[in-house]
Amino acid sequence: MINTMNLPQMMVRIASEFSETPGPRSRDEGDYSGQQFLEEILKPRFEEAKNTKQKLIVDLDGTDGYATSFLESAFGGLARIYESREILETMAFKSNEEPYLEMEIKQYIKEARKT
Amino acid sequence: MRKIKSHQKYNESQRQKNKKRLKRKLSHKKRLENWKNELKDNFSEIYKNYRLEEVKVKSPENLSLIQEPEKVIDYLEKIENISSERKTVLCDLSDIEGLTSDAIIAIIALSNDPKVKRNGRIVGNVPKNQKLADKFYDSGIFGEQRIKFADGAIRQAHGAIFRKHNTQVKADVASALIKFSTEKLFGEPLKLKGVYTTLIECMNNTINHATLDEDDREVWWATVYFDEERKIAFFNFLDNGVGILESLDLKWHNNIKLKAGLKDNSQILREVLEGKIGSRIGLSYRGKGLPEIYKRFKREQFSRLIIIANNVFADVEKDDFRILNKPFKGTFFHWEISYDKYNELAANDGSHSE
Repeated sequence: MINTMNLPQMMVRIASEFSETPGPRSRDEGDYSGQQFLEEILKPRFEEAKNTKQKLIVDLDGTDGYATSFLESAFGGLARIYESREILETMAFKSNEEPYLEMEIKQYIKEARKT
Repeated sequence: MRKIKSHQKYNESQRQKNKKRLKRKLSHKKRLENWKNELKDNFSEIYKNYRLEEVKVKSPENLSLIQEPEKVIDYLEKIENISSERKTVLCDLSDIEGLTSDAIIAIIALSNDPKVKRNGRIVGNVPKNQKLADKFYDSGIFGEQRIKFADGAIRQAHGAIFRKHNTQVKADVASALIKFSTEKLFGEPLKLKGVYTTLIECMNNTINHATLDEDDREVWWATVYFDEERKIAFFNFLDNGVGILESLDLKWHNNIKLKAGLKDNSQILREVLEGKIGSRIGLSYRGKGLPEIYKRFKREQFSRLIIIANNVFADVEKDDFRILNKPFKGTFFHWEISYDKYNELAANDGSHSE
């Protein structure tokens, strides 16, 4: 396993870069969906971080809150494109306001391909 | 000479033609007037009959879905049945002694249901009790003529009930409801992450599970009512869909237990909240919404979670899960944010402060 602790870091701040009011799972269900976040922000940033060997910190603070479907669609969705091991090595999460979210997101990443 | 003769003939023939034309015109006009009068008479007759078919339906004394679920469900059913007979239902609330915001929104949702709207009309009167009448006025339930149970602006003076309906997840509505309630409760807009998550999960639940037809989406209604005296914000979320329990695709062993009477729907709802029964789609990562609402309640991000779905009433805080003798059409959620409880929790545990 690669030691990623000392890697240079890049940041995604959901509240300021995407929306303070994250919405549902998919675009057709409403605005600011997890699918939209995955396609427009998370996936390109993840690829950039992976290619430039940086740690991608996802800052979850500052929003009004999250629905499980948003988080699953975004992070679980990424894990349906890339290996979950690779994602967990490249990504880290910051959530001072809702610390339990980190564990939940990691669970979605691990379970993304289960049926 | 011949020319003059022909000119006279021409004039004569034109006169005859004009005469006939005028006769035709007059006769047409007369026919039109007769037809109009006939129509006018029929219209007043139809209108008269329509007015005569108004049926007064007396409300239960305590019009509260969370306190008297069976009586209110029975009342809603009566309203629906009468309106389906192409009659005007007059919801008689004049003698009620108790009223909660959840019942008002249940009536509003029912009266706006396309199936009900297509057939009849629902109107109502105001409680005689002044306190309850004020509560009723604050709901924004009044339209231009008597009571019009339609979506409309809230009464800004009090603005106790704020309601929206939609067929999509509307994160901005969730934020607006929270902003409204926190401004009333705490004097400033605050983030209530547990309430936000719960509202979005409820909306998700409606658009994904309230109808068995994948192309169809049910309408949801969300309200918040602020009780100034008790300093509590009451949140209500409702849809008139098929209900949580009807939308579940249960595994064979649960179906057998249900049929054999070894299990009932109240136990099934408990298991859904505890995350033991997944989504009907069968994917492990779906069906997390209701367990998430339960988790947020357990984390004390709000209090007094009540769910009514199909034939189950669940007061989660009191651990009272029971079968109703009459099923509710759709799914209903209620929860509360109390000023005192919020401050108490924030004082005891800094991390609770959202």
